[in-house]
Amino acid sequence: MNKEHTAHDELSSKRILVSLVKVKKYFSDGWRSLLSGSSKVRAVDGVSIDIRAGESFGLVGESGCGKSTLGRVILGLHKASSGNVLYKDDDIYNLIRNNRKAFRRQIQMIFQDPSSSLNPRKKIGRIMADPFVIHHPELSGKAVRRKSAALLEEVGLSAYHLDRYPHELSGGQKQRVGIARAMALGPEMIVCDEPVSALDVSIQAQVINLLDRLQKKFNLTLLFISHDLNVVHHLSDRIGVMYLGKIVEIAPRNRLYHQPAHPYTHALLSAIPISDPDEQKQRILLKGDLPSPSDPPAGCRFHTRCPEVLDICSQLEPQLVSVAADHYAACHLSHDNRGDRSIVH
Amino acid sequence: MIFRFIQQLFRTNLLLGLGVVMCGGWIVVALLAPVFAPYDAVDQDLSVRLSAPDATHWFGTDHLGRDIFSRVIMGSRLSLVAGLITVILALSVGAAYGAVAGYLGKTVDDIMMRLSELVLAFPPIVLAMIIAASLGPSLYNTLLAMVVVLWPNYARVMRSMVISAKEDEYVEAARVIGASHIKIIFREILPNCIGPVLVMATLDIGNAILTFAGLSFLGLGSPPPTPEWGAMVATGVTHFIYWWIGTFPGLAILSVALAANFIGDGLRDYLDPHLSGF
Repeated sequence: MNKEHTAHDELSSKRILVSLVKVKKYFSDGWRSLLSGSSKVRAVDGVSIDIRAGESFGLVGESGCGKSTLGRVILGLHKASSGNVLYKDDDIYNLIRNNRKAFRRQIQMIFQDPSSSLNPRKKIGRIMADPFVIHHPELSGKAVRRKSAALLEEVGLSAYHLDRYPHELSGGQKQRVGIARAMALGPEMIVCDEPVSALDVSIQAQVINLLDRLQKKFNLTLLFISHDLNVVHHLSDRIGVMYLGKIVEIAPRNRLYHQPAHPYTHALLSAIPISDPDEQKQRILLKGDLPSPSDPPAGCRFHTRCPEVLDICSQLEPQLVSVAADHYAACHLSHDNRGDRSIVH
Repeated sequence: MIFRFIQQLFRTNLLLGLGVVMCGGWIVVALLAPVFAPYDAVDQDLSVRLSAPDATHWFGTDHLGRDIFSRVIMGSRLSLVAGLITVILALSVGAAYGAVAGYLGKTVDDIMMRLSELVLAFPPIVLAMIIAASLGPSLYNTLLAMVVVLWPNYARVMRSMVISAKEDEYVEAARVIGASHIKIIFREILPNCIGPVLVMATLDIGNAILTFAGLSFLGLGSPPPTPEWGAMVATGVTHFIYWWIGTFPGLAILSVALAANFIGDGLRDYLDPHLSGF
């Protein structure tokens, strides 16, 4: 009964594209840590999620909770310390070892900082050409340029931007170039690592709409990493909430926003600013800071800040269990409810 | 066509243009040295020894009556090679080594950098002497010794530049696109790190010429009658009141070092898309 959330759920009948099984990623300083005595940073500590083909999966959490690391593990940019990362049931490290380029064509990434994700020494034309040069060396320079121009137009730029340097573009334009580059190889999935958090609010909306349109048009699978719940709400079908390297709750978007099961999710949602000044809203203020990921608290990692902490929380780590259809939470409060399943569901 | 190119260069990047013209001029002089030199560079004529610059000996003569103008011209062959080639070689080796160490990081970096520091532990001129002497005194061994002494500086600067540049997201972006490590190092990271290293190299060219002169003076490198700027300056020091002996080869060294500096600064601006309109 208490088994962790797995692929074999009746609601997740959609094809699983990426599956993480108890993935851990620890960072350590190598032999230097022996001298300094610093311990491993547990950026990702046992995460199991399935991302279904064609869905947009939102991953939210405070900065430092490991959500970006998780995104990079899926891309193979960081090697998981333990656990499995499967892409269409194949281990991604095998895929990378056997055919790196084929794997790269499948999953792409959009980065947080558009000014640092484009090489300042290269014109946009060369940046856009790179994917083609690497994966389709048979294409002529002219064909590459034509394709690059078409991609730029797809994301709302023009062919003349090919001859610009990144510093000649605005932040929003640069992020569009980043999106066009990610689209170049026709990927099945794109990991978006806080793609709009470095942009002005007005530009954010444009970029989000662009991503939304591209996802529908090309039936993309998105992993959308963000700390901004409004942004995630706009784009995601399902949302996972991360705290200190662990997933604490996964639920379909509307369910998560209206019936959050985890106190941390509650607190996050209560912190979303609302535009109506008359509406009264109870904000749950979390006490204290995020504990250090190199020395996470025992038991439930959230118990040091949880407003509804129980005695058991500091001793036993709650497992991620189903609290409703397609809704999972890792909290002893929902465990209690589970004792009598009929109450919840 | 070359003229057009230089004209264009001057208009867009004055420093680079000046540097290229000066350096190019010296290279032409070195290649065609026997044509330009009015006298034989090693011919002694004691009857005119230590004569001041005049119409027959434009730069005067030294203590053995050799024509300094001819010696400066002929000396350009050795000194340019010593200055430019050693620095170019040291730069290539050091920059590539440092880039790889910085990119791979961790244990590889530790081992590679400790190895390079082995060289830095010795006083440069002493180490160059040991290497050149143990390999046997010849021009090539001396140049090799100088490269061995010089490259760790470039490796160190390059490594630290690469360590900061490799954290940039465009490097990650290149990996996600599927670029190989070689391509990432040489196409993405190096162009963003080479600026300071280039400037350092251009500052080193004058140094290299003088180091080579020092080694020649110690009997490694070019044997005495061969004209060589550094050795000529050294002669000028011993005959200080005859100012022309040391001044003209000194000016030659200055002009090459200056030209190299111009090229370095110009290149840095040229490579920086923020500044270049080329």
